[in-house]
Amino acid sequence: MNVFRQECKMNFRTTLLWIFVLCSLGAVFMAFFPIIQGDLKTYLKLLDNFPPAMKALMGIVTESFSTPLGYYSFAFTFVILSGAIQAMNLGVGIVSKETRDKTADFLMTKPISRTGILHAKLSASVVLLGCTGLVYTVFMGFMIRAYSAADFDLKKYLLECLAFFILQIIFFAIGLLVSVFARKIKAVLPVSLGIVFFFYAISAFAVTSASDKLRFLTPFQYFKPEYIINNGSYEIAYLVTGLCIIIVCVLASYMWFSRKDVHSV
Amino acid sequence: MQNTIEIHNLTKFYGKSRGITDVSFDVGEGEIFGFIGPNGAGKSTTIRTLLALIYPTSGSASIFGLDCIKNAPEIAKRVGYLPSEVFYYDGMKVKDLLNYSASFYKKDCKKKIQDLAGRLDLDMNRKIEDLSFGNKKKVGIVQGLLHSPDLIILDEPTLGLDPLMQQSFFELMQEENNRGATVLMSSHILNEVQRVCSRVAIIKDGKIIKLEKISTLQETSYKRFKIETYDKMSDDTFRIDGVSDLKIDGKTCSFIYKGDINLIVARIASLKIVNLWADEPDLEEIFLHYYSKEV
Amino acid sequence: MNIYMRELKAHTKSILIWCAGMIFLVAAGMGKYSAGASAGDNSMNELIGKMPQSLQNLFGVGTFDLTIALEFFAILFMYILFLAAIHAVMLGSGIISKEERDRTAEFLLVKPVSRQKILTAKLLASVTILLVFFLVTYAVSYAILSYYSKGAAFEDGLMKLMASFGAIQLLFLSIGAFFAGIFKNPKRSGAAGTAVMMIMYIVAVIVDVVEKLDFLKYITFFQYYDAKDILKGGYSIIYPVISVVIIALLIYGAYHFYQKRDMKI
Repeated sequence: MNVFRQECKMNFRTTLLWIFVLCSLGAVFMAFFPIIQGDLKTYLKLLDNFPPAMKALMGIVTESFSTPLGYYSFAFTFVILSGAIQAMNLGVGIVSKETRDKTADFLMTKPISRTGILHAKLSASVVLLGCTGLVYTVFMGFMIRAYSAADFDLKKYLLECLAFFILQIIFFAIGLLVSVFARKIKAVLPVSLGIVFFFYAISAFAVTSASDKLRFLTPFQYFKPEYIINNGSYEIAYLVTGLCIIIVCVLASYMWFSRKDVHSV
Repeated sequence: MQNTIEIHNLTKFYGKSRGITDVSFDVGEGEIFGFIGPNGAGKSTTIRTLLALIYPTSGSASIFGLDCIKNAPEIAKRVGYLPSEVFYYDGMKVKDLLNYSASFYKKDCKKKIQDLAGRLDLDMNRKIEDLSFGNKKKVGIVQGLLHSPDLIILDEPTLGLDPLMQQSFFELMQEENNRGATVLMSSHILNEVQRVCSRVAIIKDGKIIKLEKISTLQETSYKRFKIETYDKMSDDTFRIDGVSDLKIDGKTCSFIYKGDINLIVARIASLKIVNLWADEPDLEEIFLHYYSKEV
Repeated sequence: MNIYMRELKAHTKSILIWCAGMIFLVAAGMGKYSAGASAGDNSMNELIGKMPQSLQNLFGVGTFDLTIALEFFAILFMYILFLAAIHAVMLGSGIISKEERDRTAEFLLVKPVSRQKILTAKLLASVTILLVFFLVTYAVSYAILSYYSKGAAFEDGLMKLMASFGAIQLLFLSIGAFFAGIFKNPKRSGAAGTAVMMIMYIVAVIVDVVEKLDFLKYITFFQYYDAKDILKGGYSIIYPVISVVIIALLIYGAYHFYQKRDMKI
């Protein structure tokens, strides 16, 4: 499909850049693992006494902190922030660019339905984010494994990586919905950064509150590395919430985009 | 003969402001149809509705017998659209855009692209963003015609083209029309409409105020006279029914006449004339006349 | 000046949103203070004291007494500075490149006003906006700290921290303006400014953790205003001096390149 191919081509360089950023970030964090490992016993005793709130905010899972994978959960928190920005940028930008760059008159008078256009853009985005996730997974997988082959639980690692992908799709969907509803988005970066930090801030709140209710309001809290490490699975309630958000946002975007007037520039 | 475009009581309101109200007209197959009106009259609104870029508040329109909104992608296969302003994706070269455009139509457009680009003197390897306005327009023209559409919709097509290019453009249109394409052209440059179109619809304030063949418009219209005499004329000389806008200035006078031409010729013959001018008013005058006198 | 007023008006909505965000951040952040480490409960400090220095630095908790509101605030300050930096860099690059982004360059730049004057007006408007942001941050921090400090002195420390806030704002504004002056493409200047800021932030974190890399301090603005040094003494006057020089150079560069380059129309 030509629109699909064109969208992939147009966003390729940015995606490559993000892959580089995410891998570097992950690598930098893992580079500190040897330092931690050197003083392992001390760290472990400390972490046991850490307030749970602090640990949760940093993504630290005490029991497994000594393992590369457990330590990785800590890095994960920061990597997912970057991943969220990438996904949100894509979501907010990919449809609104036709209005922003005024190419709507060109694309939308071609023999392709509005739904067809959205199919192509969505598929391209999923493919690009998927590739990002794939490269990152493989890269980090090797890095973590290099530190300790024995302790490496592949299943749990893959679950974390899948969580990363799902989270990106959730952010993408939210961004998409925002862009379809907004009249005109002049600059993508401020909007996407704003939304991501908004959810990140709620996440900070959610971590300190006693009840779990706030966790539903922010995708950052849907896949706690702690839970995945300890249980080898996802918390169903949040997984379902995440998938529901994706479905609702995508469906609403389709409906709204099909009915929207495209005004002359 | 089949109608390519049929529009029935098409109405579009933008919130409370009117876009168009009860617009109805048909465009027959093979016609070159002009669509004129002052700024803000509703030309773009009508066209954008035909192309399903915006959705009507009420009424309907069909192209090739298919509903414009419901069957938009189907219709789009055989329609070429040239918008008045042309914007393309960042960093794209002319050939990239044309190839991308061609990829939407299930036919091989390479030859036609070469043809058109050559005729319009378009450099395929340049980045679109680096082109001048007129050259960007040329990209738009090629992009709209490369798939040999059966219906060509033009929105202010010659805006920005130099006179030679305008000539080439009209030749192109004629060729496409000869090939069988129907053309709907919106403009407010009246002499281009007059030159090329067979029928015209005049829209003002969202409503169609005149729908006529160009020839009829000119026939049933006024004739402009200017006369220079040897002797001074009196105010009564041309006080005849059908004369209007009479301006007498000593030995020269001008007026507009509608009526039996023999009467006015007789009156002129009764004078000693130095010089005489009789003009078909051009569409501009006719139009401006409708514009000022109307509803 | 008309351009100055126009810019202020155009940014009203944006400044409201950013201030709201900052208030939220400070309030939420200090909320964790009450949750985690209020006065009298010294267990937190004990465990942090036992942490290896590198870990302390990573979490930004080294050398601070977390039971003191001001010192907890100093840790939160890391994130506050981050927000200020994002705001400043995007403001700086955006306010200049928006003429080209919104295609109003052909309107403004042919008016009887020199490019220099235009730039000056925009920079002044930016500084005004930064000032508003500064005052709001100061006010809300003051209010919250006085609530939590329960009599302990904090005004002096807060004032010094806020001074560094202002410096970071100006530094990153200059970076944004500089890139907008150099690059024709508005998207590129925003991306470049954000990238520089993110890299500086990550380097700042790394420098904190890995003692050997201390020399990297000089390439990241965040390390010029380290909360630890500011509050605990040992702050060197050389940093503000370097800052002034950098700001002057960047602003000069912005003027120079903006004057010389073609406008993207």
